[in-house]
Amino acid sequence: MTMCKAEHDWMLVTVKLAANAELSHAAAKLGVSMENLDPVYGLVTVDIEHHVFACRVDAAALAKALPDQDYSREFKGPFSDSRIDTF
Amino acid sequence: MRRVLIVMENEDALVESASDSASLQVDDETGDIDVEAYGYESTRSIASASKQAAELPANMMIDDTYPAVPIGDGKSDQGFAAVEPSESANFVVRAVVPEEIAMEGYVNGKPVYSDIDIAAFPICPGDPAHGDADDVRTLHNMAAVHARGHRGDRVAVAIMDTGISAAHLTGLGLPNSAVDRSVLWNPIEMIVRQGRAIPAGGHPAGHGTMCAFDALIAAPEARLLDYPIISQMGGAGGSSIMAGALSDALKAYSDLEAFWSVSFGPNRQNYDSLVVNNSWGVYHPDWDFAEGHPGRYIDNPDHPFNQRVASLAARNVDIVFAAGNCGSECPASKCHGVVTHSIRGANAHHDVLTLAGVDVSGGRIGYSSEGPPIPGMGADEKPDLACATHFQGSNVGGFPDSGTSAACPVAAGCVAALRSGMPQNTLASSAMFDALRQTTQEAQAGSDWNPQNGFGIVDMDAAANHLGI
Repeated sequence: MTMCKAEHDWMLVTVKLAANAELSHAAAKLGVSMENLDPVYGLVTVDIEHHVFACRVDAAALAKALPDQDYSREFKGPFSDSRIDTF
Repeated sequence: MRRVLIVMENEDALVESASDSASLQVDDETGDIDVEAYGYESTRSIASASKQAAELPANMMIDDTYPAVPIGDGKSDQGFAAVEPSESANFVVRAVVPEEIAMEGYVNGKPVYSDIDIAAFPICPGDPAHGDADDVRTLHNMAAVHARGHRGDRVAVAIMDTGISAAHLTGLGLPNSAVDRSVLWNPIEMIVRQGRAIPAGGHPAGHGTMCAFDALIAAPEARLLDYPIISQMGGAGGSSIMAGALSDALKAYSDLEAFWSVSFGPNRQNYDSLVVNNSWGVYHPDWDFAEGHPGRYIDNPDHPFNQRVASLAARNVDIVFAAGNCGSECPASKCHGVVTHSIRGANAHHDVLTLAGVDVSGGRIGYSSEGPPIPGMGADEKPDLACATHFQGSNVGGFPDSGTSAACPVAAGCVAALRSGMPQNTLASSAMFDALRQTTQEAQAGSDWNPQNGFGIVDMDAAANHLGI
């Protein structure tokens, strides 16, 4: 089940789902299999009122499932997962 | 007109001026200096008594408030006797001249030397500590607020950093209960990689422990929530390497808000208010997507992390961010020389309080990032405020508590102390921040925002009075 990051080029995206969504719902929305979502990162709430969640999806799998990646109706992203450091 | 220095040859008027200034008369009881003996007396005026001064152009004015300074014959191997006023071959005199004379460089065939403004060098990375935690309390006027009982009781301060060493804090005399060990958060990847979770307060002493200590200066009764979003690993030569990813911060914020909502606050058995300290950020734009990319972080309020910050702030959680260490005088090496628009991302978010650093005397810290912030984040005036840094505090690694990293939790502690008298269900986060901005000494004196210290240095007592607590 556990996949290390080296096997995937994870991409940070947001998806709009139902209120009590699970990772499988994100997979269905994005048209990818569960193996193409980062199970370690999971589903992270971004905007609880509007049911917006973030997840990390394999970039190649998403490109294959949804060729039009230009901020489609299905998801927003990719978003920068910038390095951060202490001041 | 320009202030300059000129050199004159020995004559009585110069000798008298220099002799008077070298023999100051001080009143033993009051310590006052006898100004009459300090070269100000009109009878000893260089301008009126010096023959050389009389030969100068009419539009060149000798400054009689500046006594003549004997410099001997100007040779480096001269003895002390050569600069005795009566023996000195030459004297330096201060004057004000028109620009054209200053630019020409000579008057009556003699050179005109520049007398430029100078200033004390600001504190830079690697400099020794200035002052200690008591000086921090004094600078920010904390005593009266503490005396009124506002010390952070029933306030949680989340330290989003490298993790806290509760043992180190206990060793400094802080209570064992300072870290709330019931709230456990670890990056899931760390749990997966290491197969275990590090308990709250169980991390090695490092940057996060410094932040924890500094938050408790103003809010000694607040309790700390340990969110180790940035890894701290041993580096070469005993150094520490710290690195994190924005997605970890996003997840931590999401979990913090969920925990806050359902288990430990607000108005539940433990806490009434939450303050979130963020002594981290992005040092260089190259760490992010390229400018113009719709998924960029540092100038994009629609980035998921920036949305998360807005969501939490809307619930009156007080979010405090460090401005950054890319100040123009001596930026940190990781800034790679980029010192403009160096307050970026959530650090420049409209809904957060952004902290610059000053020393315990209120002086400029040369590495503290200056405004204006990066355009696009909806705030034109960042930093908001300044708090003390570069002082002897947590003694982690024997170093000063430094960076805007230290100023940030000092401010978070100030907010936490005020929140113990004005919980978040009684006052919006934006109103709390406005109170702090409006009550700095600078703001009360009528000063506007400035790029170095924002609206000025936090004055806790004035803010508390403003809030009526």
